[in-house]
Amino acid sequence: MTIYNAAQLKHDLFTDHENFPAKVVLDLYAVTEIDTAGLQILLLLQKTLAERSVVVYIARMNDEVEQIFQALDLNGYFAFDV
Amino acid sequence: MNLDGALQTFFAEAEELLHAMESGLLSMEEGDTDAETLNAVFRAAHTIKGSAGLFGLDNIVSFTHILENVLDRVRDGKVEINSALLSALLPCRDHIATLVDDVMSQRDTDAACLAKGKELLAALEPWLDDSIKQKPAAASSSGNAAEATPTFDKSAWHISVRLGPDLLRNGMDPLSILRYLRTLGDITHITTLTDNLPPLEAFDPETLYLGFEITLYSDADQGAIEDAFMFVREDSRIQIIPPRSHTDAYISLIKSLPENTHRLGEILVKSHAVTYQELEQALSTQKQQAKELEPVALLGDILVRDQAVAPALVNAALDKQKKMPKKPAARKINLSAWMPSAWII
Repeated sequence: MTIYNAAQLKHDLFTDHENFPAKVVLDLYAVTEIDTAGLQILLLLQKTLAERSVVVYIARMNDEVEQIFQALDLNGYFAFDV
Repeated sequence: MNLDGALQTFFAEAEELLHAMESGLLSMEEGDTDAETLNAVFRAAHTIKGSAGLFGLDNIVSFTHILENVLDRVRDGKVEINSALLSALLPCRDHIATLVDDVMSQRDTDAACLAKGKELLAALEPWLDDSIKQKPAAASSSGNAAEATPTFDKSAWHISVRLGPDLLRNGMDPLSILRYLRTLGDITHITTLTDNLPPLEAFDPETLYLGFEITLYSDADQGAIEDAFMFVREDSRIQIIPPRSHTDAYISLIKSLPENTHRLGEILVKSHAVTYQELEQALSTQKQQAKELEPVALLGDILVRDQAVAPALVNAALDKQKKMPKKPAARKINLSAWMPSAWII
């Protein structure tokens, strides 16, 4: 999830987002590489869906992703207790 | 992605610094061991390490870190300059040049080269500081907590960061800047601001919209902190408020930023840059000067009131969810399944 595939990530995450149920769960466990471009799309997803009361949950993160979430203090934007 | 921007500046700078390092080392060989020469060589290594860190070039950072340690000891007179030392140092300079070349030609550094690097560092061992000998693995700039030992004389800087929209496109990442800042001290508080994310239709995946408010405990000087931003100054708005600044400095910061005043006030209070009372007082004084007779809502009250209107995002989302009439099924997006391995770079 980096700038190299950011456009594709945006496309895939948002396809059909109007019909997402009130709870969307992301599994970030297998993400091998993530940068600010990738994080920004997750934050856009959260912000866009919050307007319709849809909550973005994160089910799993690996250590690398967790460290980056902590480094930018992003945990408050998402829900974790699925 | 184009690498023409900041990274080109890094290449040009690295070339210059490597040249300076080479002529310095050669002068030392000829017996010039004055402070200026030693300093120039040290500074070259130090700057290359720092800049490489800003681009996440870990091979260069970890190698140069060790070299820098030796050069620091040379500069401090803790290490005697002799031909053995110089013949260990010169190939290190060449090795950095090779590593920079690899980045420039977008080539992965091969195993033979990495092995060579290890050999060169092993040859430096007689001149290394004991602390670094024991922990060569901690040499990268990744800045984990173990590396930075908090001390009490450090003081809190507030750093407000709005980077240029093309930063990501130019091959930089704010995460590298944070890593660099963490080499200077402890980041005790950071807020990533999403206020400037546009609606989905207008969102360009390669444009940077996020802002950052950072509290850094560091005894570094302002110049050292500014160096973290040396490649991003163009198009960026970086405001650094030194420790123990007057409340007015924070008030002008809030006023200069595009985001919501109370959200920013909340961040500053949370990061202990100012207290509610100080902000309240400063804001109310200013308002009173503007409108002598009108009673003023104190910031504390406004913040509390704002909680109801614009609460923290996660709470908003959860509250709203509670109001949902029935429990809907969750949709799971599994990114591991979603992401073809070909995209993993």
